[in-house]
Amino acid sequence: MLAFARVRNQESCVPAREDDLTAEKPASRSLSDALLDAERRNASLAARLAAYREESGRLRPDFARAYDELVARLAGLDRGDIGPKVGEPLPAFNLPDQNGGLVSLASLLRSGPAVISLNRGHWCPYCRLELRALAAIHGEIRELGARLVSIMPESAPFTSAYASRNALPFPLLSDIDLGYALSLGLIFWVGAEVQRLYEEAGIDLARFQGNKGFFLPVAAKFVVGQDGLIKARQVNVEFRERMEPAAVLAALRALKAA
Amino acid sequence: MEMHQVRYFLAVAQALNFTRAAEECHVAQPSLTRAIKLLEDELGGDLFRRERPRAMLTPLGERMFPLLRQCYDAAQSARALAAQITEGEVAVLKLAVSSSIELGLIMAQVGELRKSFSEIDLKILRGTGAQVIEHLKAGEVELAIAAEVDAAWDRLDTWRLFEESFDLVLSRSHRLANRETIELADIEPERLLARTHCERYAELSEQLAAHGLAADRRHEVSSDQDLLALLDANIGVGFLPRSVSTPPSLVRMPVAGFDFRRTVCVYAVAGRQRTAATSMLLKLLRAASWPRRTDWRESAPQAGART
Repeated sequence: MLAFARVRNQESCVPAREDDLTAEKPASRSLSDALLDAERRNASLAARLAAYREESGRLRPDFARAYDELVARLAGLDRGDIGPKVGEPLPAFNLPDQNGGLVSLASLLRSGPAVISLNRGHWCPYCRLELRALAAIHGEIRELGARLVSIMPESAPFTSAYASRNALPFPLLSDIDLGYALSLGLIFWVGAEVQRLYEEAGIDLARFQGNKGFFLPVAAKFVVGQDGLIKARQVNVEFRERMEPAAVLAALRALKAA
Repeated sequence: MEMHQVRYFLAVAQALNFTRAAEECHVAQPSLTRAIKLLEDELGGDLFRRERPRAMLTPLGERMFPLLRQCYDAAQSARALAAQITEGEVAVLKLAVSSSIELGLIMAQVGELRKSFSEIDLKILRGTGAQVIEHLKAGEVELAIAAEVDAAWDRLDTWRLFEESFDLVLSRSHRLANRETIELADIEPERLLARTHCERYAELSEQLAAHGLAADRRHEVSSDQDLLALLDANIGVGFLPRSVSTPPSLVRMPVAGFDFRRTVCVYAVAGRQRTAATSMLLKLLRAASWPRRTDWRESAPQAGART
């Protein structure tokens, strides 16, 4: 997990300094190296995520342990079946992108199917690996007539800088107060232990989100047909795992063939 | 966690009584109790201490109450919004904006909002910071936009949008207009335009006094339009927040060693139902990327520049 340099803990969503947004200053260079190494691997997303998880687990076993406990607790609540199911409509949304323009599910579906990615934030290394992998197949997604968006509980100062820094060719929508994620039944509190670790590491969710709850969305992916129904999905309570881009493409191809 | 679990939690937290909460939510009490138990399992602790017939919030419950209410309100408005737009609703927006703030500041968001509705219905009231809060309290408007207001009212929800600095503004014909830098001592002999409609005026006045600039001999204005007209006629000098536009006939620059700031906020009444349009405007304002303190005037003429 990327550890940022300690930033002044602010409750407001006002970004404090240029360097907070444009330069990731990890407290430990090794985590950032681990992420770069994982990214560079010529391997599936799953392999990259696993590689990062393994190395970051060695560098920060306290985080790994806290994450393991959190995931175990959430998974143990029989939450494997949370969120809207295949065959059900994906609930509507109308959220601002990083430039302040509203993007609705309906508008996305006008031209073809849509891939909706629920992500945790610009600070999350697993989201970064996933979103960059999606950026790499974005051309193919568009060729299949589909649109892709990522939804995060952060405000535009953070999503915008993140999108440019990572050259993401798709919109990042701000789900302030995690309203949309909650309407899907897909939010959780990180818990006291992870909250403490984040605060110490300078992962200032309160500032990024404009919300002091330390809530996060459950990482998820929905492939939605033009009829508004979910054709494929993957909900990851274990947030260190994500839907493989190849599976997203396969779902879109199946839709096209149908 | 799921919406209904949060709704039941909020109901019990407000009623402090499981039976009453179940009635309000129109569910059987065992269902409500079970849903709350699931939420407690997920959060890793008890939310209530049950002292029959009442329920008291535990420290975890106290912490979660305002936070989950905020998320729940956002989820509610997301659901309502989706329903309304498909029915071709009119966006009803009633706002009170402080006289110290230009309406242009929020027009990008209002314009964006308008695209999602078939029609928009606007009411915009003006006043001092205190007055716009009164409009809000009285239910005449749903949102108020102002700098920091000392409202001392626990039902006021406040969201900070951005912070900005103030510049000194003067006519191009002013004796100080071509200076590279200006210090407070330079403006001591000048007559300041007292921007009495500004939430921060009292504080500004105090800070100037602390630097030896007395409050006497000031001109008083109660609108930025009037302030700019006077400055244009080379009457006095003024301090203006960076986001307030000035015409090219005026010069603006920071005062060296004196960084006076304000925080622009949006206010609403806690727990009051908002229209879909109001919720959306609030979301747009809170999600927005506001220019940072130094950005507003990047394209504006600086003191000393000759055009």
